[in-house]
Amino acid sequence: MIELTRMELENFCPFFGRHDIDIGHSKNKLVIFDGGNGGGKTSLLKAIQWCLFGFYTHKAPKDKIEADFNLLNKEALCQSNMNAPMICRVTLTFEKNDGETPRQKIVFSRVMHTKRKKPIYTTTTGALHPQVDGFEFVKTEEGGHQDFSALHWVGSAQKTVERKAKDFRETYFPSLVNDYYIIYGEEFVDPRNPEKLRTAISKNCFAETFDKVKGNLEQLKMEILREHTRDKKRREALDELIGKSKDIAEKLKEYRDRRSTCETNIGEIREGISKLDRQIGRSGGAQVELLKDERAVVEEENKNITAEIKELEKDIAGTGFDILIKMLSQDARKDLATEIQKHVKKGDIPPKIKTEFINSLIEGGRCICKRPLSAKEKKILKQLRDENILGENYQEFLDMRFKLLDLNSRLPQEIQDYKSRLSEVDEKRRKLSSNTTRLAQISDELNSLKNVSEYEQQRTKFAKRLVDIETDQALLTTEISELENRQRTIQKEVSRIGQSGVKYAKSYADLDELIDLMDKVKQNTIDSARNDMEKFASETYKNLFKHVSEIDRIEIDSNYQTRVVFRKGNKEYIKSDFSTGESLIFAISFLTALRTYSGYTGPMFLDSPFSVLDEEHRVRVSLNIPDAIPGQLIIFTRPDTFEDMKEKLMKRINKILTLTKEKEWNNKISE
Amino acid sequence: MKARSESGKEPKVINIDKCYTDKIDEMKEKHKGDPNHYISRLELKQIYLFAIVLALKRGHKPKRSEKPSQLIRNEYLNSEDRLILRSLIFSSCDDMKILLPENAANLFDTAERLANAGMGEIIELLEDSEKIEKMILVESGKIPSK
Repeated sequence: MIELTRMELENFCPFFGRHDIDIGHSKNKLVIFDGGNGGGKTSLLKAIQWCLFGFYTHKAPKDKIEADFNLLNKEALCQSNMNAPMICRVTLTFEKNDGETPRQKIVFSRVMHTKRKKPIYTTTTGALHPQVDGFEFVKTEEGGHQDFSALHWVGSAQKTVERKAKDFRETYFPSLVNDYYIIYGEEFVDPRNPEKLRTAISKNCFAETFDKVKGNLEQLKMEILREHTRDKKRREALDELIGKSKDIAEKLKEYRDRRSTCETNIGEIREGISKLDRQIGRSGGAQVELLKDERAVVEEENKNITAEIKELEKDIAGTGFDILIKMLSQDARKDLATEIQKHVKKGDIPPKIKTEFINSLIEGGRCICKRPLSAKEKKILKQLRDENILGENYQEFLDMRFKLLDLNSRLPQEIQDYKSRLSEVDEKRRKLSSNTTRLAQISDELNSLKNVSEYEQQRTKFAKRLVDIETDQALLTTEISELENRQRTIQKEVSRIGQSGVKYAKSYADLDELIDLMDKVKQNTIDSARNDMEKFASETYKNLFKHVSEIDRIEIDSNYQTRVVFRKGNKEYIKSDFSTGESLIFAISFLTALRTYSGYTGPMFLDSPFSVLDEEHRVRVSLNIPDAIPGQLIIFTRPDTFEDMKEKLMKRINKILTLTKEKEWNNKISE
Repeated sequence: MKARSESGKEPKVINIDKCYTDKIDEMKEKHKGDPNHYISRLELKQIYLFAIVLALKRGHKPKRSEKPSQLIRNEYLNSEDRLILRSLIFSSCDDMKILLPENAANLFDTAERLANAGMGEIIELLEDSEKIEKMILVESGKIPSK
């Protein structure tokens, strides 16, 4: 078993400067890299793949320069001087855990030397922007050492180390070069794709090796005949035939390779088409209509709410102001009411003598008996008049007092009503805001649905390419069968010419038998691989899928079509329509089965596998996969999908490392 | 002494200083297209009463109009407005006689001077509706619910 125990990164992807990640080793095989979107999860997987193999497969541009440029940390590039060397480095330390002490360490390192050759321009937002054509790739160095014996990729030891490194990679990391092994979140190869499954199984049971051996045996057979033919003319004829046969064998190899590439391409195109079909299906016309209907309803609702809010606000503004005036003047009203009350209580309002009469007395300065009024009498009369004035308006002031008191007593209720109307407006505003958000979502969804026509065009292109490739494949098959016929004719001819003088018929017959045997063994190996895969995949799938009691088995037929057989009571049924989550569980089961079958013991990497799984399946995958595979399981996951199951997994985890994006191009890794 | 029947002495229009009516007109013009602005939502009589309230609350000195200009017609004031106006004017002079019908002209004259005193601040407040809303909430908090 081999474990990744340490990673060192320098200016790689979003990791600016140097980062040392110490994973260490433990009996717990689960390592979690926990990071949000843009945290650098896929970049770390890319780092491992690039360090070991010199390339990466996830979203890699076809152009080599662009692919290299994508690996550079742009912050470091921006900070580097023009034409000054800058390095991007990944170093991986693995430890062999096969019971031996001390553990054997294997260190891989890859360094990309680059330099910037153009100034970095600043965008309108002020961001620094390095350009791909402003970067010069200088060289890549790769190296490694085992047991700290410092065998570098130079000098006499180079070949040895290269061979060891190749063996190491092929033994432990097939998952990083074969796409049927890699799971990138929702992007994974569905094992229900027969071409991919055929490739995966035949590669793992070395079916190609049997073909190669068989071809060699056939050549050997002819060589034996030639070797033992003494007649010069016959020997020359045989030479010519063997030469032809060699040419045909080469052509056959080339054609078969081309046909195999065609098969792979056909698989990929079919997969692309089915993905497009799913997208087109999801974005169907019915959905557009539903969204448009919903938009109309929400828009109408918004229109009404806006009008209601406007009306309420208008009313509220006026009422609010009225209330404010009433509130600020309520003391004045209270005072006036108290003052009136004082006069009312007094009860000293004199009999209703006309004010005009009292005035005439005061103005005339005489009483009704014509006697002049004394100053004291004048004063009393003036007071009487004044009080009498109020007395005349007595009823009016009394009413005023009641009205004042009434106005003041109504005020708290008016305030309460005003506040309720404010809350009503707030409520309506909230509704308006949520409706507006929904309208924006609908608009986005409708915009994305505009892609339907784009998808359709892409699909047409794919379909055309598929026809072309299938035509090529058919032509190649015809060519191959023709070449095989010619090869057989040549073999017969060789046998005819050679056999007359052959004394070695026994070895010749033995070879024929061996060739037949090769075919049989090849078929047996493939059948047995398929059976093993069925068995392993069924076991894992039963452990991972929560409706375990209903699963009976997984079947792979001779055309590599897979199906899950469910059982309910005595009845069996086959499920063919899988959700994305179910497909992922199915894919993980196959991936685990492939590893078990092939005996690889290197780490297994799962990049964000949980986003489409519910909590129960996330826990099932994390708990069961480490038991099902012999090696380390490294999962890159998002905090929201990991947090709720952290506790359940704690006992199985060796280390949790957190990836955070602090700034653009400056991510951090912490324990 | 004026008889009760002389209540017709009440002015037919309510005036304030022209500088303020001009400012109000200017503000109305400025926010013509904004139906949400307070100036578009309020009645002039509310502005008038509020100016008097503010002048009394803040203790601003009453100001005679240099050039009186019509703000509203007297008839726009309803009985409730009149009640509030009367309480406020009583509060300013603390003499109930000001409320007598024969003193109506005097009452409106006092009101005009008080309105002029508070108008500057209210125009400023109207430019910032948040302040008014805050004031409403603060003041309403002081009122007992029952």
